[in-house]
Amino acid sequence: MNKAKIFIVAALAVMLLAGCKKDKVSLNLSDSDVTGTWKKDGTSEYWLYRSDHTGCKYNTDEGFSEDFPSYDYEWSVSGDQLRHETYEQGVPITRTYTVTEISSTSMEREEEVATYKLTKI
Amino acid sequence: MKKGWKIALISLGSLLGLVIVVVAVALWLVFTPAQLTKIVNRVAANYVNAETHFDRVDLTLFKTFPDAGLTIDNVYLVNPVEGAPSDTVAHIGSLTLGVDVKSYLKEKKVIVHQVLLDDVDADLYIDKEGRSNYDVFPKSTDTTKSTFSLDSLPLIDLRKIAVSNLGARLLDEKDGLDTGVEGLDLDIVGSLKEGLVDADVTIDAQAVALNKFTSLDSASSTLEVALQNLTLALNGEGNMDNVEGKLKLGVESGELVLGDKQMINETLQNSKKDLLRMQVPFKADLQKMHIELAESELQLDDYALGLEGDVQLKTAEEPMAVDVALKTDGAWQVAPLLELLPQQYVAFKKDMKELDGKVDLAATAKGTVTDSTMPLIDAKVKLADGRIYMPKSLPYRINRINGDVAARLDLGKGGVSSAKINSLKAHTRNTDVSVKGRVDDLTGDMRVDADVKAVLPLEDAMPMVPDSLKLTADGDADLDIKANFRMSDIKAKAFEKIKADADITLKSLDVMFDTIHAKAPDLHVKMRMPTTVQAGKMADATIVSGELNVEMGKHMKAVLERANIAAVINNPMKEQIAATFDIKVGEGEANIDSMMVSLEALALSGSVRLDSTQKNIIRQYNPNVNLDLHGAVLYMPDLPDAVRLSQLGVAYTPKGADLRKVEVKLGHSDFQLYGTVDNIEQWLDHKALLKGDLNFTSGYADVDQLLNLISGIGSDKDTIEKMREEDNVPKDANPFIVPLDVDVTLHTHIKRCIAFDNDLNDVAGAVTVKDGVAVLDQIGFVCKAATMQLTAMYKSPRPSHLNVALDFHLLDIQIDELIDMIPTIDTLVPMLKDFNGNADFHLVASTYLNARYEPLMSSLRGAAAITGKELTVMDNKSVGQIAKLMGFKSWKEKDNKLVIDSLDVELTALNSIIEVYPFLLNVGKYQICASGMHSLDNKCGYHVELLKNPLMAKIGVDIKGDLSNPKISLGSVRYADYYRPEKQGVVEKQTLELKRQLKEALEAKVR
Repeated sequence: MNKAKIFIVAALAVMLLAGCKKDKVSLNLSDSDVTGTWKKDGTSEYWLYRSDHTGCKYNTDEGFSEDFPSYDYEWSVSGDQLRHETYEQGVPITRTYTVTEISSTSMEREEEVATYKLTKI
Repeated sequence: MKKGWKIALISLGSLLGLVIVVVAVALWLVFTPAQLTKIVNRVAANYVNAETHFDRVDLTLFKTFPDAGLTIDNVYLVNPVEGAPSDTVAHIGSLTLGVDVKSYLKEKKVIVHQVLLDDVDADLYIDKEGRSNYDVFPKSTDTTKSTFSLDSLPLIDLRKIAVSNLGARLLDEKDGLDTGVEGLDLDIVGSLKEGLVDADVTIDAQAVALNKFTSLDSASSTLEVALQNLTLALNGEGNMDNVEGKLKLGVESGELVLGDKQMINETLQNSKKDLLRMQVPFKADLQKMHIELAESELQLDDYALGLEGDVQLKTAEEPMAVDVALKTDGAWQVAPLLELLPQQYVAFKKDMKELDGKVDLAATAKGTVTDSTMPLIDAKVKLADGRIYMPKSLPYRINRINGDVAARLDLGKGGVSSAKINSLKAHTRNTDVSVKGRVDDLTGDMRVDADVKAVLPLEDAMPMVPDSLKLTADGDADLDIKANFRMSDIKAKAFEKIKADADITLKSLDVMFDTIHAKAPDLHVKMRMPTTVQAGKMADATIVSGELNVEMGKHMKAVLERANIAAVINNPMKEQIAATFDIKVGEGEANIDSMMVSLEALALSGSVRLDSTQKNIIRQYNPNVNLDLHGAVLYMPDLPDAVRLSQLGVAYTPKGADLRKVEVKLGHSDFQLYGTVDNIEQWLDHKALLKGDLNFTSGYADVDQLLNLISGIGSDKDTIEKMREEDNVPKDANPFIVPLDVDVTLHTHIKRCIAFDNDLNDVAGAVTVKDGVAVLDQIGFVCKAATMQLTAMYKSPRPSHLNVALDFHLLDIQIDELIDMIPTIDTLVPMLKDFNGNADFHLVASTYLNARYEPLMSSLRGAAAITGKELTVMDNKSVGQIAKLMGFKSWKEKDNKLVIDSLDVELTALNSIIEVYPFLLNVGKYQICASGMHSLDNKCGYHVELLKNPLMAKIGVDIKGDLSNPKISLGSVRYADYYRPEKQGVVEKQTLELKRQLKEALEAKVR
């Protein structure tokens, strides 16, 4: 009996604890979700994702543009991960962002040190 | 005297002899005309080989009084010869002899005193073989006839011979001569006795004609003479061998045609004066055919010539020869004389509206006349008061022409004629010219050796300058020119064969040539041809000027003091101009557009060779020059300070320029340049980059000012301005625009300089500017007591977006000074400002900059490494919090400061994220590992972990959120015991990549 009670209490405890924890729903990104031009809210920073998986970032306050960007990359998606790959001074660099929300007009993603919201242009 | 004339004379004499016989017969026999006629006819047949006929022979006393006369009417001499115009050789209308009555009555001697002929017609003919129709008297070998000679006439004592109305013609087919007289009256008064003659001869002829032709069949006449109203008076005495007397000849008018040229023009023909008058006292040796002329006078119209001398006529033994002197009777006026000359001899004056003067001529002619020789003529001509006006060539008159010329003419075969100009002077407006010299080979290729002196205002010479030359000149010239040349060389433009020495002084010179205007108060030019300075060249010249002002269009003005120019030039008519020159200028000043240059001394020497087929200006002139400049100051509107060139030495060849020494002061900067510059020609054609390899040394340089000087070279200024407007570049922001079209390397050695507001010392290294890319290759310098080395690549595609990639090393630098020097480091590594002490800093990065050289952070990417020892950490809230969390018991160990024993950190920047790789910090007994990231918008995520502490416990601290006020909390422990972070080598890797890019940029194929 005691063993059964202990088992039941433990099970309930586990269930309770599991139930307390909110389920995290991971996005399954597709190329079309991301393709387009996005502006980081509160800034003049733009991120362009082309359908050929190339992209660039440009800050219009600094005089950059889609034709004259400050940063080029190749992008890909996997699950909720948005990956940027580039070479800097010959060194391959990969940045991976976790997209927490996405719609046809906005995106929220976790970057290296903060989470940002972007609006599709 | 021609043989034909002698025959004629003998024939005439024989005829007279025949008549005398008739007289004798008449006197001796019956005095009836019929019988007389019969007898004369019969006797004549014995003495002539031709048909003779007399109409009537009669006696007369009245016609020949006081002598008794015998008149024969209509004497015919007929001798048909094939080809002769007429069978009748001569017809005398009336032939009368006057006989001395007293001698006959007293002594029974028949002495003829008078011979009178009236109405004589003679038609004399010589055929091509030389047979004449008037050779009617038998030869001495013909014994069937009796012969006559003048010597066999003892009864002749002629006192008068008169011929009236003689018309005769001689047609000589053998010698091509057709001559005749009309209306000739002849009177001879004197005595002809025993072969001695003393007579006064008067001849009046209405017309005398002569035609010399090449053949009777052709119409070509070589000489035609037709004289009207000729009078001749000859007074002489002697025998048939020697005659002495005086000849007067007058011709009222006439024509003379040589070939097809009329030698007596219409003016002369219509002149009221006689065409020709002569008075010639003479002595003639008829055996030797030699004539001696005493002081004679010839007058053509109004122009008289004195003549005397000897004439030897051609004989079998002797050629024709003359030894005569002639001179004008007073000065001849040229203008009316020219009116009288044949047109072909005065064609030269067709453009002259005026040509006059007074000419005095004295000449001698001595020598023989043969096929190859002509008498040598020595003439002295004096010209006074000459005047010429040729408005087409010269719009003003040349007056006061006075000359003294002696000429020697040798017109024979191979003869050479010459003239010596003792003096020739002329005056025109304000110009005086004098010429001395000589001209040889007058009739051939004239050689002139002359000394010309002239004082003239240049204005007077301007009409001779072609309008196409666009040259005007004012001022005064004093010329002294000696020249020796052949006319053929002038015509062939073989100026290198001309010898000349010219000394020209110009005062108040003011010259305008196209758009070039030059003025000089005094200028001295010396020119010499050929030059002895350089073989193969035509001329050398030196020009010395006290002050020379030159303007070229509206863009350039120059004033040069003490200019001394020496030049040697080839013949520009034969080949393209090639000249060498040596120019020295004492002082000078020039304005070129808005730029002004002044200099203390200039020496420019070298050569140019003009090739007008080339478009490139250097290839047009092909210069090889050496330039030495001293004390030059250059003012340019864009520069606040003048550029001072204390020295400039350049040697230029088409291959390139060799800067031997260039010393410059500009504002506070001073520098010296030497090295080479190549590809200048191709650069001007935009076919290649201008290449330079120069050494740049300086005591002090204001780098910003110097960059300003060369910024934008080769760029289109309008394009740059447009970019500035498009990108809203502030007016006070003027970034350095890397020059285009050049590939120049400067090997720099600068003792002190200021660059981008930083004072630098001992700057050394290579700076290369290559077609829009500037590369600094391991430039070493000292700044703020730290040793630094910089390798960088800088581009300026737009003024608002400058691109720089650099590899920067600072050794042993104070951290606060580092941040002061490169403020961007504070953005990249914000925690660095919490440290104090010396560190080594290595940075390799690339970024775009704005027009104020501030990084456009979104484009920044790179890596940095910082190493330091004994750094102290500034006290602040965050540090205190971290220390507290980590349990640093007494973290303020040294003077209340936290001391880091050693620090070695690497970080990268990309996409506005700074990533700090795990690094260790040793603080006394503690060892800390830290790593993390922060963004340029001041968000951070760092982890700091205590690896080693006295408590042997590991503690992790997370620092997140806003950098200015981060959230610091305990975090998980990530690192294992004895964790040692790996060296990433990011700086080294990126440095290699940068070096590769630099190499690529420097080795890029050029245009």
